[in-house]
Amino acid sequence: MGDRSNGGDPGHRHALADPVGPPGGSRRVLDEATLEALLAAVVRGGAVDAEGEQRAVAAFRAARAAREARPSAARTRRRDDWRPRERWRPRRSVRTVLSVLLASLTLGGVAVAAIGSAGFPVGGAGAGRDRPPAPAGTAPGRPGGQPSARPGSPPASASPDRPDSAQDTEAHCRAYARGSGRGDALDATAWRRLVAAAGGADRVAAYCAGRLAHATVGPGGTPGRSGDATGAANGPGGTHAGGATGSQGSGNSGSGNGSSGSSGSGNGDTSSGNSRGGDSGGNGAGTGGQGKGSNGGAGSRTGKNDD
Amino acid sequence: MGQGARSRRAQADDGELGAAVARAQQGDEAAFAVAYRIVQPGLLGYLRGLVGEDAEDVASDAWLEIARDLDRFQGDGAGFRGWTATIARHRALDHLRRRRVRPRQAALDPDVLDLPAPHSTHDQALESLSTEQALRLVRTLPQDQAEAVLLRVVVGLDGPAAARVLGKRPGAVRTAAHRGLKRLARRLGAEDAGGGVTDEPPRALGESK
Repeated sequence: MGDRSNGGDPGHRHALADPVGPPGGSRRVLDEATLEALLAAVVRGGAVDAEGEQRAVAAFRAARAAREARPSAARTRRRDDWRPRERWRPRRSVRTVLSVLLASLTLGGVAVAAIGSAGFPVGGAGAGRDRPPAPAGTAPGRPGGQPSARPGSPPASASPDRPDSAQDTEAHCRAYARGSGRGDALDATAWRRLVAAAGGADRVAAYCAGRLAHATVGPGGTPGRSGDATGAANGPGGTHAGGATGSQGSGNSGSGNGSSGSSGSGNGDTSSGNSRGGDSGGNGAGTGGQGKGSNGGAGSRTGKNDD
Repeated sequence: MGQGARSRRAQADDGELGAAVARAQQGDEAAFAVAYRIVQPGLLGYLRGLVGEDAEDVASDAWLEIARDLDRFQGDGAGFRGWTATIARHRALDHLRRRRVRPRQAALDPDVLDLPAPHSTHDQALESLSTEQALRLVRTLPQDQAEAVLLRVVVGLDGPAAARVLGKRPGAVRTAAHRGLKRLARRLGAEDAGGGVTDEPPRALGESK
């Protein structure tokens, strides 16, 4: 009741009548409660007439009889529901607020997940390419310093600390991983640079795996999804025994996650090692096998030519 | 709005009323009669303010509907007051609509506004007020104020219930009731002084817009 909140307020029972009233009256002040009480008593005054009560009860009796004849008629409409509102209206509003909050959190989570999954391959590469300070800091410390290791690129080796060098290396590693399945994977200059950066041809695979794992996982890749990527890459790499798929699997897994990348290259190593008896590293075996394959092809061609 | 003796008594009745309504919903005829005796005075006062001398007929119609729909009702004693007031109001508005189709002279006579004992105090003026005089006084208010005062003071509804009956916001109804009471007190003071100030012609509530 609105009365209850105001009823306790002593300042609310102020004088209703004009304080500067006519001088005739003895008491000018009439407070609201007195007026209410008197008004109610006057307007409600008079006994309830028995005739009206009899009519109402007769109507009640008739309605009862009609209801018993048709029992399922009564259904509470909204306008018939006068249960106390003060109790359930705030509860409903709290429930509404909570559900809205929950919905916004859910939608927000879905949106973040969608952004993450859609943007991961692009964002991973972009982040690796745009990431300036960390590779620049680690670049000078890697085995085989840049000035001595890159003889064939004068503009690149002019400034030893430029941040592009690390990004170049990562790009080479990515091209290496992508192209190692094909025969003419890397042109000679890039391959030589990569070998120089890794400190040897047999260390390229491990070096690239480390770099790419650092580049993609570092800027916020989620572990669950990189695990999925390596699993998918490992599956075909293990079952298909060809050296090309094996090495490709290792390349993908290397870009996704460092540890499972090594296991992927191990799988590729066994399969391609059996078929080609190649190199020491898994990825090195892939490219080595490709090189030998092309050589073999050349040999058969020469054989045809001989015929 | 102060918590008048009337509304406190109405609250005291609410428990008995709620029990009677619950028993009546089980089919208890005597309980329905008890509910009628508790509710009818306030309902009739409200209807008198709305439709004047036709209030008894409109109340009778309202009770027919109340008896018919009693099983649909859900709530306690205070809720029953609001529910019945809503039904009565609908019947009253229907009645006024019919009456407007074939209009007749409003049963209001401004002379009746002359309150007794012009130089007595407010309280004495109110104490000697007849029901008819009090209702005519209320009818001089704007309709929203008059209905708010009647529902709050005469029917004994709380603010939210009165607002629901009127289909308005509780704040608006509280303000209207407060202004109406203030104006009534001022008018009583004016009548008391013997000035006979009637700045608005009295009229039946339903006919004022």
